[in-house]
Amino acid sequence: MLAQIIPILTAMLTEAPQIVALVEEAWKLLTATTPATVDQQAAIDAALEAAHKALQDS
Amino acid sequence: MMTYSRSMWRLCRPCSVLEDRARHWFAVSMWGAVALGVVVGLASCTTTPAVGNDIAAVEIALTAAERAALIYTSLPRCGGVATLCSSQATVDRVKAADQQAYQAMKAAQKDSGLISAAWGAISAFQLATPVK
Repeated sequence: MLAQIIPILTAMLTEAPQIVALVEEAWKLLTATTPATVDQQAAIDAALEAAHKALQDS
Repeated sequence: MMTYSRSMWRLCRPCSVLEDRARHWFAVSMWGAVALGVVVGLASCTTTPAVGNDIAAVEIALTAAERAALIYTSLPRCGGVATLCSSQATVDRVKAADQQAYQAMKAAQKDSGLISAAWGAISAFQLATPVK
């Protein structure tokens, strides 16, 4: 039972703050008056591709 | 009413306590997804001076929704001994909704007139993800 629960708890603890940070980032972009930089856009693209692949492979 | 000291409780029910914590963190993660839902909802009402940021916000919202969904799809599949588990049918629905949202986002990257459709697809994807 412990061996089963600990990896799940770890995943949840890891993901929860990242999800909140992403929501904040999305809100900042929506209310920004200046466009995202090329570097920011590249990081956003890379994060999306990684998350999409991870979900589709799960 | 029978009461337990903290140490007695730990000795008697260690797995139940951990399961409760797992459910708690699952709920915390899902609240993140709910907050994302608020952003998705408000985004359809917002006009942004920096148009390019609309697509970036769609991408980030989709990334957050995918990470929230990954917590569910990474659980062991139901049918074995696992008490915290994910249903294969639900996982398939989540993945299909994710793929539709992803394709809607890609279409919006090429044509900014499709941004509203992309937000709608992300919203549908979120609804397909179980919250408990």
